[in-house]
Amino acid sequence: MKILIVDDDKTTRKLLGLYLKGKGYGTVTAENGLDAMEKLSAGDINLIVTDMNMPYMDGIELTRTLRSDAASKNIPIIMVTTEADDDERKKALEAGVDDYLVKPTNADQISDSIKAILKKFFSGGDGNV
Amino acid sequence: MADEMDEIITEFVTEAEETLEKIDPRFVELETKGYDKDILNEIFRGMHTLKGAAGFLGFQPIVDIAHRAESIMKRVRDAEIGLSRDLIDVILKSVDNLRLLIFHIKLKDGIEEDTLPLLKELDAAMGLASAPGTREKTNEKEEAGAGIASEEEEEPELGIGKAVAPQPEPEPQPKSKPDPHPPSAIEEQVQQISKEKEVVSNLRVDVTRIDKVMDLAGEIVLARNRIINLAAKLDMSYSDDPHVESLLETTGFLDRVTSDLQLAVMKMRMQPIQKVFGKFPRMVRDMARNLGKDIDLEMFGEDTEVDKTVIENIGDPLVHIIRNSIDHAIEFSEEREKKGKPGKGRIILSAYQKGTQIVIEVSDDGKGIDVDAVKRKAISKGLITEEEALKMSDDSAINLIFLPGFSTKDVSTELSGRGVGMDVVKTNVGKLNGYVEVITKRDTGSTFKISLPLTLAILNAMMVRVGKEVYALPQTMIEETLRVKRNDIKDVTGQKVLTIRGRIIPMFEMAEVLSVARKSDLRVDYSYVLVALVGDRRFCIAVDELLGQEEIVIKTINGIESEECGILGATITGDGRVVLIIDLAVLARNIFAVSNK
Repeated sequence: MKILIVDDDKTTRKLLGLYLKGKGYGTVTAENGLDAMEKLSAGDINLIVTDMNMPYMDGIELTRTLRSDAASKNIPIIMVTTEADDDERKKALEAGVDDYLVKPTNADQISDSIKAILKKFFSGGDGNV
Repeated sequence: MADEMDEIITEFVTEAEETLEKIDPRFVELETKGYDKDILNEIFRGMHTLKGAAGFLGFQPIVDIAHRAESIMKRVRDAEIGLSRDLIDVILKSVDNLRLLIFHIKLKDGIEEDTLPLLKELDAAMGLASAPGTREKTNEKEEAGAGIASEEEEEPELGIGKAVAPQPEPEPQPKSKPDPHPPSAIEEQVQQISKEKEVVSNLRVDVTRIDKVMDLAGEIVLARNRIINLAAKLDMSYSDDPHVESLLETTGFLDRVTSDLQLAVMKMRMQPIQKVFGKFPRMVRDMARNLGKDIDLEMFGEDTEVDKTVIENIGDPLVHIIRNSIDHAIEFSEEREKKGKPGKGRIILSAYQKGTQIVIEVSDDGKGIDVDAVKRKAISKGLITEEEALKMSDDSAINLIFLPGFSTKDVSTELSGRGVGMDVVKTNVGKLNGYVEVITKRDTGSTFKISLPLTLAILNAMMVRVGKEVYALPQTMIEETLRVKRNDIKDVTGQKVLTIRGRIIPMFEMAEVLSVARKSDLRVDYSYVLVALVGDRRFCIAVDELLGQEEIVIKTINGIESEECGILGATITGDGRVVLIIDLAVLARNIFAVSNK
């Protein structure tokens, strides 16, 4: 089970990466949407945790791009952002994110969201995808 | 999971400390430069990162403080509120508090600090400043309630990549200067990317691993020295053999590669001195403000790289010297103006490499050291006699400040105080095999110049023979070597002395000091003598032979403390012999302790 962490903040990438690794997931990191696209093209990513505001390509645009491509249409996306605004949330959900968490999010919140989504996607979530 | 959590927390602490370390000096810069978008952004960004990471791990008190500080910085950046000293004071206080909270996390001591007063102060600062804007009012409610991020924080990008970001630029209005941003935006982007790439290419490695490599490289150096030695011997006996020739070629190559290897490993331990310098702008600012003095700190050569051990040990001496300059040397503005100097005092902190030495200088444009006052003080403290003071040159008199128990002010002020004197500076620098010099001029200022070796692993040593034993002595403490006639060595009340250029210097036999057996060689008319200077003590040591200078690799001996036995470590010479390295500082202390009785 491999998770792609997309965030322009180095510390967030590092901490979230370490945390998820501790939970037994494999992790890959990207600094922005464009970088994420590149990492995705290398394959075998099962889930994406992305920030909203990033340079070059933000989380919304990344989500839209991924949803418009048959190959990546179904990949689960969790958005973690500082935007508590309802409009932003709506925009994100419309773009196609599976969950929307508002920062500061604590580690367990993210982990719970990942678990729930994986369960939904892979019924049973044995990670054998 | 507990282990992983520990790892994450350790990572958080490291990151948080680095973040605070980076933004701390920026405040002082901000204060001198006034409104500067880049600096404000950096501080804002640091707080933002800290808030996010702390929130992730559930460290709520950190989130509460960082969030408020972040909000204030954001509004300052967007020119919604003006920048004042008081505002900076509050934010700096937040930085200090954050540091403390992070320290508790690091220690895992479970101590909770009462952050409420600070939070109130931050809220007050925010409230005071919130007058001009209107949209802030709505935000304020949210903040007070939840203490978490909520407002429109499109900042992570901070001007970079705005062209592709969907949100329109809020376009903050810098107060004074015309907006220089549009033309350089792309350039900024590029710089930002290359900066981040740089960060990614760094690797954090446990120091013990590097030290292990360092140690092994040292072993290789020793083996190389032996092989070169052996090859040279073979060359003498079998110079016709073509194999010997290729052996010499190979050893020549090995020689160069080993030196390169050693240098490369040494560089792994090197870090920019910025790590130490970084805290000084803040320190100078705070101290000067407390004393009501006006002082600028200028720093040069922050990227000069020094060994990790130097980074760890040079901070205290520098703090001490700088405190002294602020406290005692730099005058109050009126006094300075009366003397025709600019009202604002200046301290220059610089670092540079000079050959195989690193030089760190602290210069101030204060009143300089009053040589007569120093002498009087030393007499009253019983450190020297009046007679000695009369004969003493200005240079030696200035060095009296480094004696233990010396302090020019009777009651040390709160700032420089705690009874620690400049002697600590000299001792600590000495531990790094370095030395301190002082250049001072009345009413013009003083410069403290600290010279340190580039590395602590390699030592320039004087090799000497005593009886059958060979010893290495650190070259830094040896002033000169002489061959003296036995007749010139005089005996004054049981103490051997030597007169060198009119100066009477006590002399000791190395063989006696180290209790090394040797045949009495009284037929020899000459004796070899080293003149050593340790701190302010000058003394001669007689040895049987001077074998020359050598660059040696210091190997520590397990279970042996240099402070106790005076053995710094050991090294293996080119001919395969294990040689002890003598710690002259300890040796000096011991022999003077004995001879004073």
